[in-house]
Amino acid sequence: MELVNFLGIQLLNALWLSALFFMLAVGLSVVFGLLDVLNLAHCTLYMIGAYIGYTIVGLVDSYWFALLVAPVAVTAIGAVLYLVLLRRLRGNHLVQALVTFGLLFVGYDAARMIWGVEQFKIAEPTLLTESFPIFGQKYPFYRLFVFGVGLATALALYLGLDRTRLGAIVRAGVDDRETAAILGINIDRAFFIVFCIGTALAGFAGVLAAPIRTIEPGMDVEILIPALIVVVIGGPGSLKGAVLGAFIIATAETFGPVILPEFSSFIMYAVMAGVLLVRPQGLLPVRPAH
Amino acid sequence: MPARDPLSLATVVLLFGGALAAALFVDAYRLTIVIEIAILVIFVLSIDFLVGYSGLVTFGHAGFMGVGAYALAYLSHFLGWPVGVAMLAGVALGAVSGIVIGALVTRVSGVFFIMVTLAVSMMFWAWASKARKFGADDGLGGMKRLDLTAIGIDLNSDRVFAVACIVLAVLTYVFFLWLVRSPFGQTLKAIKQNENRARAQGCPVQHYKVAAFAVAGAVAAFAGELHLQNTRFVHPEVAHWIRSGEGLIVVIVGGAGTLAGPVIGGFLFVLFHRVVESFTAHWQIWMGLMFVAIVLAAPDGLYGRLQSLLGARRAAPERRAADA
Repeated sequence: MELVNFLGIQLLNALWLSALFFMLAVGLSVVFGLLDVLNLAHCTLYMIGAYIGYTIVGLVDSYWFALLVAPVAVTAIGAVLYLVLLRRLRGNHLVQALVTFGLLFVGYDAARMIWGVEQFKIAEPTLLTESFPIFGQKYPFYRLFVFGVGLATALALYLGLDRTRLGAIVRAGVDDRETAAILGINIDRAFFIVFCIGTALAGFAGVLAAPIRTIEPGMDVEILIPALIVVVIGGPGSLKGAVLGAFIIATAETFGPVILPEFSSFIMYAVMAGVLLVRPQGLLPVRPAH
Repeated sequence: MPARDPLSLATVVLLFGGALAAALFVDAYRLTIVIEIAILVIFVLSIDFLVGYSGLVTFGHAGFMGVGAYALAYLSHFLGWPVGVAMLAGVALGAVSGIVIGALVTRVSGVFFIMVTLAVSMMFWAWASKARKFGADDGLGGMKRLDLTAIGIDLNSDRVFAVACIVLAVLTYVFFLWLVRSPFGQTLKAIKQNENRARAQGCPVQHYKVAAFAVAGAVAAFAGELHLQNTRFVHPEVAHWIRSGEGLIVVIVGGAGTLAGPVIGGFLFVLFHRVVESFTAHWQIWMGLMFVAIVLAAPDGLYGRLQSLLGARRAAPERRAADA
């Protein structure tokens, strides 16, 4: 019974963490897989989202307002970044990686200049401060809420890609950009919208994570590596891949320290190396291997 | 690279000569800058060999610095080996890990390659920051420098150590100059330009790439050993991917696919860092903005820009390939 309780709690932790990983990785992954833009500064936008959320909560004392407004602000920043910089670098991975790597430094110091080096947290919204009894202990509702939001996001993105006009345009553009453009579809605009959605999700994830994880300079780099690994093992551009990858990595991250404390920090990397050896194109690639 | 390149020669003679003069005359604080430059130059030359000459854009090269530093720390500090022997063993281990990791990562290409190299190096970092024997993420001090007092050289003096590091940086430069002109280096260049063509001509492409990793891994491990002896401290930060990224930036900013480029980049990076740092605590924002500006404005790097400014630019198609 002890063991079941214990593993149950770990499983719940893996669930909310996988929701967080998913929301970050899906932006990275879709932006990379569809737009061919590798944005190492993606998680910087997540960090900025968390900080802006913190500032908003300080001003108006409403978590829900912050959850709504911070992603909008982050999207505005991301849009400028895309229009001014990233759009010009499309297709050149090395330069993209380097430019966005440079932006990591800019973001880190900008956060230190504006908010200082202190650690912050946003309080959970009053609706969700309670815990509920499960597996012999109390588990915070808020974490379950994060998982629910992640699940809803995945579903919405799936339906959006599968059922909407924008989704069809994006799929067409990924398949054959030039033909789609010849048919009169404004591919650039569609891709821009996709980039903005990815950015908004990063900002959204920042506010969602803020009551659980600490807001501090460097929180972006800390989560960038797991997010990249999720993208790689799922298959870049693949929505289902991001879901599966996020769950695998979150599980490795939560169960690892418990089962193999000595090697906990390795497990994530070992999983990735293993996946790449067996399936270099990722577990659920957008297109089958040529 | 043309067989004789007066611009390249003039640049490196000027820079290394300046560093040597500085090492002889500047005060103790500036000596640390000179040492830092020399070690960074060795490190980034090894990155350029992969990125600029072999087309292998690694984002995890600092991992090899970590291998060198931790191997040296283990062998000399814990097992009591003489530092010289331990250094040789560390370099050999760098080459071996280059072979193992090279064999793994060259299975993928493009952006996957960037991410996998990053992740593999962070595996080492993750291990090092938990390794209690080495002080985990606090690091461990009390490391020894190479003892050359038998031949009248005292490396414990920072001035002597600085001169030694510059000499080693020059030797590394000459080594790579020789290597890229050798049949081995030329074959790597051919693979970088057109992998399929090289393969069709019967070249064992994979073996060459792995061999390039072995060389670059060994040299980076050596840089890691010097770094350890400079600070007398072993710390996981040496292998962090941010350091790999910085090294890559230095190569690109200086000019990938040239040997003078990374040397220029290494000098500029350390000097810029130290100068800006003395004005403001927020040096990273300026560093980041400068990275972005240079990468956008001079895709061929500063050395490429210098070449075209001086009209010395001959047909050098391989430099373009840095964008690939």
